[in-house]
Amino acid sequence: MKLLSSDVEENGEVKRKSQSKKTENPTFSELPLSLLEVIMSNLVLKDNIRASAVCKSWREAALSVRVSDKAPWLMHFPKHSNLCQLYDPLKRKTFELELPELADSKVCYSRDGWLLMRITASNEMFLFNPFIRERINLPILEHSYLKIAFSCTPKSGDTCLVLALKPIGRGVAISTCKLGASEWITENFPCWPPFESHFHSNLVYSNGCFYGLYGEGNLFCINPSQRIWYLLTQPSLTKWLFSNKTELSKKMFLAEHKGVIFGLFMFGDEKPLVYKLESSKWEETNTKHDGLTIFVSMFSTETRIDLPWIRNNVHFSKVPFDGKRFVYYSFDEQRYYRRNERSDLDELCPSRTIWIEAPKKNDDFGLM
Amino acid sequence: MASSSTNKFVLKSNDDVSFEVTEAVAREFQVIAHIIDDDCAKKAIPLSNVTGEILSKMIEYGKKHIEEAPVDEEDEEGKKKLQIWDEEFMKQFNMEIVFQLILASNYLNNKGLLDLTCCTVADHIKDMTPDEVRTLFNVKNDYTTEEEEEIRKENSWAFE
Repeated sequence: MKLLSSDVEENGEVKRKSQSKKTENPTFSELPLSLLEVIMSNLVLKDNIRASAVCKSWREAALSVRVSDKAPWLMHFPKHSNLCQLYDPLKRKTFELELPELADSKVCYSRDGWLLMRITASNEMFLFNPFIRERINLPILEHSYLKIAFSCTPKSGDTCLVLALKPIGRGVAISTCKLGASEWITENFPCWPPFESHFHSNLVYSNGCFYGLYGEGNLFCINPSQRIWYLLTQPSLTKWLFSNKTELSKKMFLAEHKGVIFGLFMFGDEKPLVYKLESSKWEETNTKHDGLTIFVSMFSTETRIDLPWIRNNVHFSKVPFDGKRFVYYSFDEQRYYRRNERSDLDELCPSRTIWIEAPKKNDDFGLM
Repeated sequence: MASSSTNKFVLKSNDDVSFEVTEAVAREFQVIAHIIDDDCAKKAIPLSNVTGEILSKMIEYGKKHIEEAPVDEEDEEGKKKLQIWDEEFMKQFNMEIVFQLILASNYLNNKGLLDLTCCTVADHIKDMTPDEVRTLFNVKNDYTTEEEEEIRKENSWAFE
């Protein structure tokens, strides 16, 4: 009721004004902010942005209810220091976090604002949230692995599952560990074509399954609850496979957006190829990216839709010069930005960098 | 206390138009419900911020939503019927009336009508250029050319 009574006064004001000049139409810029916000909250992002160009009071209302994705932050773990840097590609801001908890460890994966870290000397692994400073230890995985990922934030209602993959002979060994379990469970699966290529992507998790790419673009799916591994599909990657680029300059990544899987294939300085998985088939999406921005790092990817300024881009995890100048490819302009033409793709996604989901409210963490 | 179906109240607009309504219809407007609960509704209830023209429309809306209220949460058919009526109801108004209805439904606190009127405005904004929006809603452009340019540049895709 308190809120209402203050509105009533404001309304009364507006009303008297519009009555005093009865011949004129009332102007919708004079509606109280709280009511403009109700109007704006009925608009999709595109209309919200257009409405914000109408006048200043509309912009204020539009901005206060605008729901757009927040960009992930790039996190850099310096070699000889615990002072990590975080870069916001949208606001072009840099934050620093002193994280002694991460001493002697390397980043292996990131999802939902959590990191998977591994202590090099002891093989110990743990999940770590750098914003709330929480650490969850995992049991020791005795053997080495090639790829590792986890399914969701340990804070969600679902069980968080960590999965590690390693090629053995012509098959793969898959180890899984439910968060809270005391040991890993390892199972071997035969695999054809054999898992013995130089090329393999990061793993992504979507709707109960882990996905990955290997070899000549083979997409495999692991369903941990049914304990199956299977080959899903292969895109026609003629351009990518037979380009005369060296193997070092070819890379593939997997990304997921709202349950949809995307494959990103890069070769040399050519335009990256993006495929979308639709009913178990790859569809090339070279012309329409629908506002999707893919953030790639060596171990994991993030995706966002309709970010201002950086729509339809592939952003790399190379530490930005000056904290601002990110390396990226723009599909709208069909060109790379700030990429040294000779640089290998490895240099664009260094191992000590990763994209991480930003905290919902920056000020919760004293970062602003 | 008499039952709310027979209990009547008189609502009086700021230009002295009186409407007799059942308690149920009066209670569709939270502010009036509070006045009734506080037992201050002996005589006519004066509403200083609403004209007779607007009040009659609001009572029409309130009546309909009492009479045709869906039986329960699962009554999809009832909800749909009322929704169609809402759409037809809004079609008769120009933007000046819609403007007054937004203010009045906020003042009398009827969330359903506030959402409906705001949604109507939003439907008109959709797919219009900022210039068309300014004309329809009588809004003056208070940006400098540079400011407007900057806003468009920031999200140029939305203006394509």
